[in-house]
Order: sequence, then structure tokens, then C-alpha cells
Amino acid sequence: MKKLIFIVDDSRTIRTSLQYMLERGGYEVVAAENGLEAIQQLEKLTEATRLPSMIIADINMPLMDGIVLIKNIREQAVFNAIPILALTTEHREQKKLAGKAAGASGWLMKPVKAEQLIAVVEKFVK
Amino acid sequence: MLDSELINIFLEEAEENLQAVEEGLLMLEQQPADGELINVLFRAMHTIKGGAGMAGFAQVGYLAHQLENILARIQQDGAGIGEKELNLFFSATDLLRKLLKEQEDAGEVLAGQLAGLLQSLEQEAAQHGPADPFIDPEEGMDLGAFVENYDAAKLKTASDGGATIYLVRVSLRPHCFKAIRAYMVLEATAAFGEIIKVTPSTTVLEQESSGNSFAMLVAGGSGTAALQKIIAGISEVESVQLHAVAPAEALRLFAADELVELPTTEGVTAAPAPAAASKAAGSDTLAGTIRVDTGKLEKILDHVAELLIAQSRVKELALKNKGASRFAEASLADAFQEVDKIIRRLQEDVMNASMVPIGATFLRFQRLARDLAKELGKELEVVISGRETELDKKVIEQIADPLQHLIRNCVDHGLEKPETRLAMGKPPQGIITLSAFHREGYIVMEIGDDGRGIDLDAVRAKAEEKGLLERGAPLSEEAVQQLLFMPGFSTAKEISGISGRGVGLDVVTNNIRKLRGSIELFSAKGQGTKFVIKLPLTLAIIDGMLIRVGQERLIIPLTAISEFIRVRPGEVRQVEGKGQILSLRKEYITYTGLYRILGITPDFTEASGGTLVILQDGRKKMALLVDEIIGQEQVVIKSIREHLGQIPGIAGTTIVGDGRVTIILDITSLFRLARQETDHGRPAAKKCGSGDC
Repeated sequence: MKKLIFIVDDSRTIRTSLQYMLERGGYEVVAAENGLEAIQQLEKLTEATRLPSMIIADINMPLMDGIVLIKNIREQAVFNAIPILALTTEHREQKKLAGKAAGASGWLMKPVKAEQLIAVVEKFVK
Repeated sequence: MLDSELINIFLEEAEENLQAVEEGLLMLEQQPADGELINVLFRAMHTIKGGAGMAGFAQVGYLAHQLENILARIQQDGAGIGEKELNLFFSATDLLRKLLKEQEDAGEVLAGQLAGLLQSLEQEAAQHGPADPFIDPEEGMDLGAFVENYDAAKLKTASDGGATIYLVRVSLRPHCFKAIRAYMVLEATAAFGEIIKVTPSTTVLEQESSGNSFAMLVAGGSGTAALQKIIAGISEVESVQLHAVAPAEALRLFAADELVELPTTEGVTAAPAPAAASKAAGSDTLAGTIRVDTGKLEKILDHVAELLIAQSRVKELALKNKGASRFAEASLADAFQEVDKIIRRLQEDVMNASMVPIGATFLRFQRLARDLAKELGKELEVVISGRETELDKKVIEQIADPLQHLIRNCVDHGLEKPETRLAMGKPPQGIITLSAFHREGYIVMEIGDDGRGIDLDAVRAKAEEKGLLERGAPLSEEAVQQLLFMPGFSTAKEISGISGRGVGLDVVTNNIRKLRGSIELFSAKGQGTKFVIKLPLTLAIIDGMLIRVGQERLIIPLTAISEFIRVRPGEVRQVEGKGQILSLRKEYITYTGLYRILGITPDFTEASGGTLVILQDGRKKMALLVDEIIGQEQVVIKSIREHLGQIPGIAGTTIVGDGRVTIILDITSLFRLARQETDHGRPAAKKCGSGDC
């Protein structure tokens, strides 16, 4: 079975391009538009016992932002082992640290190139 | 997925976000300290920036980034947005839109504007001093730097972990399956160590069009020879060069590879061109696409399924009951009726799928009105209602220009300056209303102002001066309307550069007629002017009445027909100077025969012989003699304009139930033709003095 990657980003452009890159890289992709939707989707995936191998979450999102989302995910033991990449456009240490404090395993800078994305995902997923 | 698909997604999303920004800005103008609105703006800019990076719109990304910074600063200050910043954002929104439209292929003009705006953005930023945490000179100055830093970080991590960095150049034999071979090389290399960077990118390598050679930066353990051997062992690899490089130098050396390799390799240099072409193609296709609510599509599919079931029932019945009882025939007729009903519903739903709300268009006009008012030193508030009213996307596209013109008219001619308004006892701020709603199978749009209204004396003076009105003759409301919509007629006393150059309302009228709509004007001196536009819901399908004159069968749009009557001899009377008139319930209506307008030989030339169709166009009515009413039909309009040009009186053609090609009459121009016909060739305009325009 293909490994499942879960993308959370409010931008259609980003979701579509990440999904495309990951699918070309041999992964299956599920996507959500914001933190709230992500939590709902994750619950569904848990019910279906199909946990993602990795979560890639944008930081700046409406309804529930990435930092809160990551915190929420980390609070649940079942998701504890899933690596989470924080997606950001700012390379300010502050943001990265906030992501790290919330429980992110790493960060990824937008715009993301296919080879970088696959390389980073492989590093965590393999 | 092609690049062009991603670009389309980005363009759509960016436009949605720009609309949100514009809407937010217009609201911020009223309440400049609304933090939630600033958040909305920030998020929209952020999304545009992120998407721009992915879709390769570097200038858009950079501009959005700068704007985002300013917004972040405003958020932190908490003092709200200033007027200067508002204006800056308005022009930035325009520029972003242009950059998106031109697909960043910004001509010199745009480039100049961009430079100017960026300069003011930077000044804006500089004013707030370097202490501001967001004015980080390193940050976002170069979108490429993000990637650069990322690669550098990766290199550093790898070398810190004890890996050696190799620069590997691979040449493939010409005429091999390059994509497959390159893939094999990458796979083999990945097994050996971490590939940090590849040029050309893997996406390009996957295309057969790529060149014969490529370069990689690889971080791996010692064992150079091993990697060289592995790669050289892959068939059709012509040569492998491999050097260990210092991590700090790796990117610089690699960049040289990018520069040298890219332009010299035939296939690779060709690569940017298709990308550009697909961008252009993307913009073309975008105009033709809409995002459709899946609920709408599901309904359509449901009906198609029902349709198929009903149809098979009909088929079955027809086969089973061939030549059977009357009862069987009746149930066959029932089944057909069912099919008819479903097809109609289906068609309505499909139509519905191409309907979009007018809101976005209204937003643009709100913005336009605001800008114009600023330019003219006027104050206004735009009141919008019926944003959610849906109409055919094609109609929206074609109505935008005429509407824009009317709004210019309202702001420029209609609204008075604040001091004048105060002197008249009005509030200094004028009100422009934009509204849209559905009524009787039409979309009605109203554009109004609470300004000075139309100055009848000025209209009269102008009409007399142009010889369109006899001196001292009465001026009916209808005549005023006719005059204002006449080519070259303008009452603006000063030519303001915005409107009032005498080309205007007639162009608007023509455009609206092309959409088979109508326009009316209501005005009261000192109280304001209102334009009411009526448009059909769709351009493609109309309900029509099939009628006959002599050998000809024609369609009259049902919406134009108010009733059918038969008259006795003598009920239509000749009135001196006005042609023939029918008195219908104390109303006098112009009478003519369709045969006369179209030059057809009819069965009846007397009103009492055939049937009179009472047509209505706005407030005007006309009684039209036809030989026979055949029945109602729903018809799909085929335009003839492309082939024959615009022919007065004809809206298009269609194919009716029995397969015959039939002409659809254009009501508005039919009224004009009828008037010319009763005038016996005298120009219609000359008669305005009589009040019979």
C-alpha cells in the first residue's frame, strides 16, 4: 500500500501542487483546508485505521492555524509518532521555533520544489 | 498536471483573494481600525504570496510579500490603516491584477509602475525604522533565496554529519530514452547518498525533450569510485564526471553548472519556451472556466439518470404497443410528457451551472465609483443589494462595460460636489445604489444616484440646438429618454474627461440590445437618476411564440408579448401624422403589420383578418398583425451575426420542432423599424417634437 501523506494548507495552489508532487513521488495524499478540517479528517482516518505517514501543515491558516493544529495533534497519543512538517513562507527563527515548540518535526519553506519535498519527506518517512 | 493547470488554479485563487482584499479595503475606508479586516487582508496577501511562489510568479510574490509586511506592521501598531496606506493598497491591488493578467510579462509601463510602487512601499517601510521586527533586510528580498538557503541548510546538515559532497555530471548517449535513463541514474545515486540538487530539475528530466546531460549535488559517504562505477554501469550513460567539493563551495560550483549547462544544451534551452506558452494558453482558457458548486452538478446527473430511465420506459412502451389500443397510446403520450418534463428540468439545471453571482462585478464598480469620486472631489457611499443574484457568466462579461459607463455617468454627472449638496440641504455624501434581482424571467439591474437628476432645460436646449426638437414643443418623459440615448447627444456642460463626450448612452443601449435586454431611465430633478436594465437570464435559450406570416414562420420571444387580440374592421384607425393606431382599453397603441416591416406577402393585410400580437418593450407597446399563431416553443438561439452581421429586426435563428430553420425576431429593433415604417422613411429622430418618439 502506498504511504499516506496528509497536507493542510488554505491555499488551493499550494495544496494542488504539493499533492501533485507527492503523488508523482509515489505517495497517496489527503488534504484539508485548515486546522479544524484537518482534525476532522484525522479523526476519520483514525476510524478507518489509515493513519498518515506524515503531516505537512501550513502555519498561517484561517479558523485554526498551523501552530494550534500541531499542538492539538501532539496532544493525542495516537498521532504522536507521526512526523509533522511546518510549512512557512517566512524564515524567521521565531516562527520556526514556535512550530518546533508546538511539536513540529521540521519545517519546509515555500515555494517548495518537487525534489526538495520528496527528499525531505523521504528522510522522515523511510 | 501541466504547469498551465497549476497556473490556472493560482490565477483563480489569486483573483478570489484580490477580491477579498478589495472588499476589505472598501470596508476599512469606513472603519480603518477594524483588526479583523486587516487580518483578512493579511491572510489574502499571504495566500497570494505562497501561491505565486509555487506558480512561478516572482514579481507577484515579491509585491504581495511587501504588502504583507506593511499589514503585519499595521497589525502590530494597532492604530489602524491610514489613508496613504489605503491608497497604496488600492493601487497595489490594481497592479497585482495587471501582473496576473499579463502573466507577469509586464511591459515597460507595468514595469515602471511596479518600480514606482515598490519604491513607495520601501519608503513606507523605511519610515518605520529598522527596529521594526518585520523590516528585516534579508527577508523576502529574493524569493530564490528561500530555496538557496534551504539547499545550503541541507548541505550543512549533510557535511556536519560527516558526508562528503560530490558534484556529479552525467552525459547520456543521444537518441536514448533520456527520461528513463536519467531516472535510473537518480535512483542508483539515491541509493548511494542524498541528492541535494539536480539540474535540470527532475520535472524537466522526465520529459524526453530534455538535453543529454545533467548535474547533481550528492551527499554521501566516502567511496567516490563506487558511485562512478554504479552510474557508468547504467546502459546508455556516455560519461560520468565526479568531484568531491567543499560544502561551502558546492552551491557556487553547482550554480556554474546550471549556467553553463542550461544554455548550451539544445533541449534544455527549449524548455522555458513551452512553459511560457503554457502560461499564455492558461490565461486564454481561464476566461472560459468557472468553478461549479458540486451540488449543482449532482442535481444535473440525477436528472440525467431519471431521463435515461424515463426514456427506456418510452422505448419499451412503444415497442410493446405498436398498433395496440387507445389506452396504450395514451400511456405512451404520458410517458413522453414525463420525458419532456425531465428534459426541461435538466436544461434548467445545466443553465444554472453556468450562472455566477453578480457580486464580484459589483465589487469592481464599488471600487470604480470610489476612485472616480476621489478624482472629482466628491463624497459618496455605494449601497449594494442583490450581490448573490446569479446570471449567465457570458451576460456578466458583456454587461460589465455598459454598467461601468452608467456608474461613471452617475458619479460624474449625477452626484453634486459636497458643498453644492450641503447648499441644497442634502447630506454631503452622495449615494450610489447598485442592485440586482430576478423578475419575471429577467434579471433586473438598477444603477442609481441621489444627485441632481436630469436637467430637462439642458436637454431641451441641446435638442433645440441640434434641431431635434421644435422650439417650445412639449417634451415628454419618453422623448427625453430617446434623446439621451441618441448617438452624440450629451448634456454635460463641461467635458470632464470621465464621461460626457457625447459617446456613451447610445453605446450602452446598443450593448444591452445585443444581449436582448432593455434599458430605461428614471429621473427627478434634484433627487437623482436611476437606470433600470432588464436582461434575459441566459443568452442561449428563449421561450418563443411561433407565428406565421404568409409562407414565413417566425419566432417572437415570449417575454415581449403581453397579449394576443382579434379586432373587428374599423377598430384600427388612421391618425394624421401618427400612422395607424389601435385603441385598446383606452390606451392608444401604434399598429402595423409584420408583413410591412419585413416585406413578406401575407394572407391578410387588414387588421381584422389575422391576429394582433401586442408587443411590449419597456414602457412602449405596439400592435403587430400576423396571419396565425402556431404555438409556443422553447428554442436555442443560433447567432447569425458572425455570418451576416447584425440585421435589424432579427435576433438570430433557430431550428424548431419540425426541423425547419426559423428566424427569431428582435423586439427592440422591431419597434424602431415599425416607427421608421410609419414615418414613411423620415428619420425617426426628427419627430421627437411631437412626443411620439
